[in-house]
Amino acid sequence: MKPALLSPARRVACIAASVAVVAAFAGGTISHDDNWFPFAPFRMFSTATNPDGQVNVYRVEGVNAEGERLTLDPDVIGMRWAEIEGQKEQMAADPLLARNVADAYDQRNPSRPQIVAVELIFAYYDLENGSATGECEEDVVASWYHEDYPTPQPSDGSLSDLSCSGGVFG
Amino acid sequence: MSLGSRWGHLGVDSGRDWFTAPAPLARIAAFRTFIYLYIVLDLLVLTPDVASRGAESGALYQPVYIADFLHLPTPSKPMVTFIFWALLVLAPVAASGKMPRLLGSTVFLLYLQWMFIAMSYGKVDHGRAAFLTALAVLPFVGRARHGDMRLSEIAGWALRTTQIVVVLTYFLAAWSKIMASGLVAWANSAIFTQAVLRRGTIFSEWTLLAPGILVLSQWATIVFELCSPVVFFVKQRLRYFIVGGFYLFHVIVFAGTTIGFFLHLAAMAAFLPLEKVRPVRAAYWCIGKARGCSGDDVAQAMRRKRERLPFVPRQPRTEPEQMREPV
Repeated sequence: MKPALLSPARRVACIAASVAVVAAFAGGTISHDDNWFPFAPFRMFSTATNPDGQVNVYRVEGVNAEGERLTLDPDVIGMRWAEIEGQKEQMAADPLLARNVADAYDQRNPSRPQIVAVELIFAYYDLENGSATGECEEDVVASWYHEDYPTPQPSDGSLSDLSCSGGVFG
Repeated sequence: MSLGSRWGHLGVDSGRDWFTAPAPLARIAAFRTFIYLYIVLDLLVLTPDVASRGAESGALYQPVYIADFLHLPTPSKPMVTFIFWALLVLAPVAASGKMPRLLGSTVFLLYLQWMFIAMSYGKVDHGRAAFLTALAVLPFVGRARHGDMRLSEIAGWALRTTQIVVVLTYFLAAWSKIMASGLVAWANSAIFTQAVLRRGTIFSEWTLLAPGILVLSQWATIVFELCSPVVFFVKQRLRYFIVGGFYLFHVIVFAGTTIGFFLHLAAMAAFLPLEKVRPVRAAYWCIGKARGCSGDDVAQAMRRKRERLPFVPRQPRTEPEQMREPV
């Protein structure tokens, strides 16, 4: 059976389109900038973590109006932690941005006490020859605290197995 | 050596023909049904969080360049809800193969906009390129019926272009690593340690005590990514093995870190002889058999359906009068 053939002009157009697609993705890779989506570079895990350095593991916690600390899991705030981590510099510079996380929680959970504090917490695990040494320290890299409520106690890590105390080596 | 002999084992005459090596229309029909139904799976199961966009204030919205250039509006709840339902309704209709150009283009544009929304809140996911490419090229093929084994160059081009982007996803991922960190530095780094610390599972956490295995995995990963274009230069049988290897790679990554490149996995089906999978025909066959029809009957009924002949129910077999029991 004879295949349905393309006209010469359409064939050239098809090949040109394929080559253009390849060029666009290659260009996106060279740009090294995620904002070129859908031609963004394929940067998944492209950074080299120093085997004798530190690994950061992040989590998002909040405190509600009753003083109860809770993990703000992605399904209760409707946004992924990676998105919050991706905007950590802006949130650190402007705490009101971090307030959006609390607002998102309050909108999705109107029957629960409102969130009055949001913290993006990094746990830094020390590595030696690629193995975690068990040494670990934590830092709040971005946060928002409602001015009408007292500043909460720092997280003790007991809520999350991503924290230093609850972690793999905790 | 002429191009003909160099590319001959791939079933094409030249590099130019390689881009448009004919493929059966049935493969496009099956791929189309699969890809459009996959959108429903993505909306409802794989990335349901996108549907909750627009509720929070727009302050966290950081449009990617193309969305910004096109002046796409900041997502609002009605807009997100509209795109969600439009895709949820139109994608299954497109999966049926009806109005392939119009519905295919509409679904592509809606899904692209959906992706722009998903990627414009501070985190861009990688591994969606091949799926978007498949959505972009499928409308160009036009009509393709299930079971139509006629070969078509435009069908071949659509599948080839999707395959190219599948492989680019691996190859350019290696390139990104080399650009960002250097080949040896990346492969000897502790990046997989970081991945397991962040997202480890029972299948992977033990490797934290044996970082040498993780470094070995990093070398294996980057060598595999750099060599992935080989899949285009081997015979068909070996190609299926290699594509099976690609899938296996993702199974291991998912088991170890719960990171799944699900849209990429769907697009990778462009490498497979999907026309051989006929779930509807198989269902007809099973139902027919269960009703006591012979294989020939079922085949004939399906042929009549395909050719749109009127349905003629078979006369139930009646016993001869004299055989009946007296009432």
